[in-house]
Amino acid sequence: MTLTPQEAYQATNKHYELPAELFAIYLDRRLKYSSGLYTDEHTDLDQAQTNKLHFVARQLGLRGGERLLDIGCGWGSLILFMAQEYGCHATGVTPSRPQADYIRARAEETGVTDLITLRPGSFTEVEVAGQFDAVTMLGSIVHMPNRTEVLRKVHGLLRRNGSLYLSESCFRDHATYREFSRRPGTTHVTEAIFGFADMVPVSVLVEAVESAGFSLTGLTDLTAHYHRTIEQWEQRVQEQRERVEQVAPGMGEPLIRYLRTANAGWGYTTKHYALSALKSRMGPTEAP
Amino acid sequence: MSAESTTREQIASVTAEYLATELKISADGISGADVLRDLPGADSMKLLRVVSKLERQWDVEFEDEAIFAVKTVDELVALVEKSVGGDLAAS
Repeated sequence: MTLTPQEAYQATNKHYELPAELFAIYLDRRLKYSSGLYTDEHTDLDQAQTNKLHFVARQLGLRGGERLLDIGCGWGSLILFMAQEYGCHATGVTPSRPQADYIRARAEETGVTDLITLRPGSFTEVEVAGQFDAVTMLGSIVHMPNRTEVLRKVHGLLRRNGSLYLSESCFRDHATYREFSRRPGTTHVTEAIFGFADMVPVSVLVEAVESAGFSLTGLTDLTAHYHRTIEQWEQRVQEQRERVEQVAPGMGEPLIRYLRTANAGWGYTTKHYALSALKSRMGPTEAP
Repeated sequence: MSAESTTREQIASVTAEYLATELKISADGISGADVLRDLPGADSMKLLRVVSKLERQWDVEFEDEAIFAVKTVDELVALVEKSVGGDLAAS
């Protein structure tokens, strides 16, 4: 399936324009729609997502007050957190109008309106002003067919030594991608649920990061953590099936099918990775 | 004189100085329209060293494609100016 960035952007938008009330049923309190990070067996979903946001901040080397850009910012969990906890000036890009409205309301409630900037639209097309200290892309590049072009734009927006954190769900290698990416279970997730998602192997993402001019500084396997996260999402959907049907009629069954399909594949057909990169010719450590 | 025009002059002056030092020629003999590769003693390695010094001096990193697109001294100055300008606008 070959889509232009514009077609992918239109196709992707549907899912993320469903009412926030639906996602509030099964996601954590911040509506963070990506993997959490579990420190022990008692970690609940809210704590796992808080852990994960601190992990992202550590990977980026945030100390406080940085200018941060989150591409595909969802309901703003990351930008609001970085503004509240690290005093970051955080800009979010989302093509979804309901998401942008939701973030504005949350920013006002939590008193960080001055630190939050929203750029509605597709990242490929939006004008983003200024230079950034850090850029994050959590599970968003999967919706963008023009990966290298996107990452080149990111590279251009970062200051020298600025950092990138990118996490994504990937088929575990090229052979698995060829075998499974067009199967009905996969296309239910990538097309019926998400409109457009291309889960390329991580080697393809590494190549795009490299082609965009970055220094690749880290790769973390978060597969087990996404498995646990989705287990907890599914449990919440199961417990509140009636509420799901009220908020989004007909969504219960396809939603559970998506979550189960995703969780069956981890480690066998799919992996979830976090990549860290720097805009630096010499890498993160200066030679003495 | 605005801060911006001062910066432009500084960039042109530093660029000429780095080129002169690297190529062991006089900075006064370098003009904006000169093609970098045609400067006396110029080769790609020496020019890359000049680019590297400019990046360090101004704490910027140029896009690789932009570096290879530069032909003249003026274009090199403009590349630095564009990168430094972005920083100034953001601060």
